[in-house]
Amino acid sequence: MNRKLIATLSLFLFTFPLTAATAAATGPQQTVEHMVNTAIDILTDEGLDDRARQDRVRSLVLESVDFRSMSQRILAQNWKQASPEERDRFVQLFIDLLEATYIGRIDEYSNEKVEFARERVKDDRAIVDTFFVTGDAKIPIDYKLLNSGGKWMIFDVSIEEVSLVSNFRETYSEIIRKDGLQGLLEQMETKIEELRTEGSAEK
Amino acid sequence: MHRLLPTFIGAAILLSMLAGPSRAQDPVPADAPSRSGGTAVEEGDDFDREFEDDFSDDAGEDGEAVTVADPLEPINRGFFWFNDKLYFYVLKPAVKVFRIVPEPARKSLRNFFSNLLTPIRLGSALLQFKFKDAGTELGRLVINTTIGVGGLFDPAKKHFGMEKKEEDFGQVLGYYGMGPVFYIVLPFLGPSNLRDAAGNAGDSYMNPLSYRYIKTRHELTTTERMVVTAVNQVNSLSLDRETYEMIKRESLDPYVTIRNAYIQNREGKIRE
Repeated sequence: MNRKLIATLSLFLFTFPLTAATAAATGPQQTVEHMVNTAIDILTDEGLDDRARQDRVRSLVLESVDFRSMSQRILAQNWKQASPEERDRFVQLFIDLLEATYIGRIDEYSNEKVEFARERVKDDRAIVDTFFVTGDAKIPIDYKLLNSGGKWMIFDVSIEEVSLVSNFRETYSEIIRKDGLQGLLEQMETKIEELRTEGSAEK
Repeated sequence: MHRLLPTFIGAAILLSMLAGPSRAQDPVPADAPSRSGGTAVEEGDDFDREFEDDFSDDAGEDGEAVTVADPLEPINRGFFWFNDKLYFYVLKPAVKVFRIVPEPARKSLRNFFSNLLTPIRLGSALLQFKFKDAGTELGRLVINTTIGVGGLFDPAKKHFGMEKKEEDFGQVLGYYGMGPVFYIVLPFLGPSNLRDAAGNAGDSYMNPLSYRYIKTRHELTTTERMVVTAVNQVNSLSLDRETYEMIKRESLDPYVTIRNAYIQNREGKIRE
C-alpha cells in the first residue's frame, strides 16, 4: 500500500515539471490560459499575504507580456526617434505606471470566471478571444500575441473592443506633440508618484 | 431546444421579409462572426485588419492610427469639463443616496428599463438584417415580460441562455456605411459623434417612453420623461464600479482616453 503510494507520488512529482514545461511552450491560447489560471490561483490562495500575492502576480505578468513590443507600438513613430536610453526609460515607466494602477486592485477579485471563446493563429501572430464573466455581465477581453523565438507573448489587450495599445498611443502621441517625449516621461513619473501615494494612503 | 426559439422566430421574420428589400443579399453577413471555436483564419475574417495597425513596423509612420476627427475639441473639452462637474456635484451624490435601495431591487429596475427599451434594439437589429438577434430580442421581450414579471427579472438569459443584443440606431447608420464623421461631447449625455447623435434621434422614435408611442391618455409630459430617464441613468450608475473615476484618476489626459475608448467601442459594435 505504502509502496504504491510512493510510486504514484514520485510519478506525479517527476512528470509534473515536465507537463508544466511543455504547457508553457505550446500555442497562444495555452499561453493566455496559463497566465489567467495561474493568476486566479494566486488571487484565491488564502495562504498568501498581500505582499506575496502582488509579487507573484507581477512576475507572472512580466513573463507573459512583452512590454517592450507593447511600448514600441504605443510610441509608434516616436519610438524610432527616441534614443535607446529614452526607449528603456519609457518601457520601465510604462510597467511602473500599469503596476501602480492595477496592483492595489488585485484584491478586488471575487470569483469571476474566464471563458475561452476562440483562437486565431496566422504565422507568428495570434488573437485569443475570451470572456470575463462577472456577476451578470460578460465582458469580452481579447489578447493579441506575437511569437518571438518560439515563445508566445501578449502585447495588446482589448477590453470591449477597446485596444489598450491604441488607446495609450492616441493619448500619448497628443502629449508628445504638445510637450515632447521628455514631457511625457515626466508626466508619467508624476502620475506614478500620485497613484503610489494614493495607494499607500488607502491602506 | 430553447435555443431554437430565437432561430424559429428569426426565420419567420426572415421569410416575411424576403419578398421585400433586396438588401437581404448584402455581402455583409446577417449574423456576426460568432465566437465559437476554431483556429483557422477564414476568408474575409477581420484578423488582418485587427493586426495591420499594431504589427506594421511603420505603425504611425504617416500620422497616428486611424482615429476620429475632433474639429470641435475646444468646445468638446468645455462640455467634458461641464459633465465632469455634473458627475461629481450632482450625479455622484444622487447615486450615493440611491444606493440605499438594496442591490437586487436596483438590478430589477435596470432590467425593467432594459426590457421597456426592447423596441430600440429589436428595430435596430431588423434594420441591419440581423434576424437572429432580432429573434433573440423578441423572445427575450416575451419571456421577460411574462415569466420575468413585467421585465423585473431576466429569466430569458438565466434559463434560456438568450443574451441581450446591444443594438441602436447609431449602429444601423454605421451598418449602412456612415462613419462617425467627427467626435462630439454632448452636455449631460457625454461622448458621442455626429452619426451616433443622429442615431439618438432615431432611437427616440423607437423608445416607448417617447410621446409618439403613448398618445393615449397615458401620455407622459416632458418633465415626467426626463425624470424617468434620469432615474434610469442614476440607477445604472449606481450599479457601475465607478469606471469614470478610475479612468480620470489614471489617465494622463482623460479627455483623449475617453474619446479613443468611445470610438473604438462603437466601431467595434458596428463591425459585429
